[in-house]
Amino acid sequence: MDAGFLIEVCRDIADATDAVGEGCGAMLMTEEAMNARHHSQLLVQLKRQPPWSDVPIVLITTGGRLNVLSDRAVDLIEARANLTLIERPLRASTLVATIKAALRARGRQYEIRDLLQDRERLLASLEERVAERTAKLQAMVEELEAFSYSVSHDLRAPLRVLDGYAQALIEDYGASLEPGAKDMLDRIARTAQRMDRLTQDVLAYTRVSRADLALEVVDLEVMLSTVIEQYPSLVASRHLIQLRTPLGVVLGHGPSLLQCFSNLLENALKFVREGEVPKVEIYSESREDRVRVIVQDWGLGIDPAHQERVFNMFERAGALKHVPGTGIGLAIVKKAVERMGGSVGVFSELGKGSRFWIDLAKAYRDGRGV
Amino acid sequence: MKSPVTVLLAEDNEDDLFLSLRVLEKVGIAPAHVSNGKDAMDYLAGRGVYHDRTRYPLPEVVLLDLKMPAYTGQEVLEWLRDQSQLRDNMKVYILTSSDEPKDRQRAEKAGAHGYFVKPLLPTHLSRIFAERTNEERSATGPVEY
Repeated sequence: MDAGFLIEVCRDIADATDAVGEGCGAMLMTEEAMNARHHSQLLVQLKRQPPWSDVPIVLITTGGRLNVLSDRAVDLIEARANLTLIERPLRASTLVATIKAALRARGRQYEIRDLLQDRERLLASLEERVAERTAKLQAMVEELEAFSYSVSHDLRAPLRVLDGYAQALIEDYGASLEPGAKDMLDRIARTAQRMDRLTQDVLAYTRVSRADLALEVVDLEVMLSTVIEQYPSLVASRHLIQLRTPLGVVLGHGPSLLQCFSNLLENALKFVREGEVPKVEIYSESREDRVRVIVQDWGLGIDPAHQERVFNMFERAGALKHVPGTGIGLAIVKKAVERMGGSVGVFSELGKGSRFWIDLAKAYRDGRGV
Repeated sequence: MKSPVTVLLAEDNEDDLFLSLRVLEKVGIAPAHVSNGKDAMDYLAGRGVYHDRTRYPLPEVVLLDLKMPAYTGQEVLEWLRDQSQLRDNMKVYILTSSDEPKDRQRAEKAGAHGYFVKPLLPTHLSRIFAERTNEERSATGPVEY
């Protein structure tokens, strides 16, 4: 006490154990007190220490060999506390120095404890900020979705009306119109229709760029049959499209794949010589953990100079005046496939035809990936 | 003999109105017209000026736009669901620019008899008349006096 330590005196080891539980800088104990049965209680208390805590215990012994009980107890306690043994007869200076050292060690431990707490708080606040950012991003994405949806509708409405007026003019006043005038009205109508398709394609592209492409197991045969049956532009030509089964099962995003293959098939049917009957075949090749699906046509083909660029936005290879299109279809395919973790490309020979391929991850019908 | 069909057209867009009126005129129909959802409900309920049923007859067919000021077509549909005395002799068709499947589903759930995407076409009208003829036939079926 003269040395300036704050002391709490405990009658026996049970008391001491409770006191340790409440918070303790260091513990000073005699060997005799250790002999009591309750040292196991102390052990339990010591076990409960948080990771940073290593309570210093200074044990006063009588010197010579410790008796058996003490021995065992000391070993156990040593495992869970910072144990120092000092012998009687005690010199006051030894005792004070030992306790000072013990308290110094304890002080360091408290510093560690505080640092750990700070780190906890920092992590918690970081997590909170991440959650906040994610929520904000999510809100932004939804806003953009709503925006592009309404833009698309708002752009298409006047186009519909334009087309409507042009058609109405032709129907109601066509008889009194000169051929030149009717022709111009036809062009107006066609331009409005083209603008409408462009708007729809741009919307499809933005959807594919931003949508959450949740991957699922897709049976290629089922998916392609669906595409052919359900797309009005394809179902009429279904007799011209041949599926060479088996095609396989892949991991992909169903709705986007429908879009991709409908684009490829529409192209295959469109890009033919004037008056020619198109022919399309779809088959697949297995490549280790990937499946390559190929859409083959015997149409116009693509100039090698253009083959790289053909997947770019608004890119239309060659002077294809007689083939309608917006130049966005293949850009949509490329974007969608890449977001599914796949790849896309084309082999083509001008005048002979093209083979557009899509590589996707192989899957098994029970949902396993490879 | 087919009596002329009374039609109410709820449409807020001038151009869509023009084009729809033109198509209806070709089959000899001059519809009553309102340009927002509230007027649509007032007309059908006979409230305010619409109380006069000689000037504003209760329609047999309603062509309802979805996006309208005051109340939307969907809201008018849902209001109509609770007006059983009105519903019985009236068929309501949605005529909208939206081709979203969920808009179609919501409308059909709320009791729309049909859902047409603009522009209004003669084929739409054929379908509306066909349904009305079937109704008439079954209504004027074997009745013994």
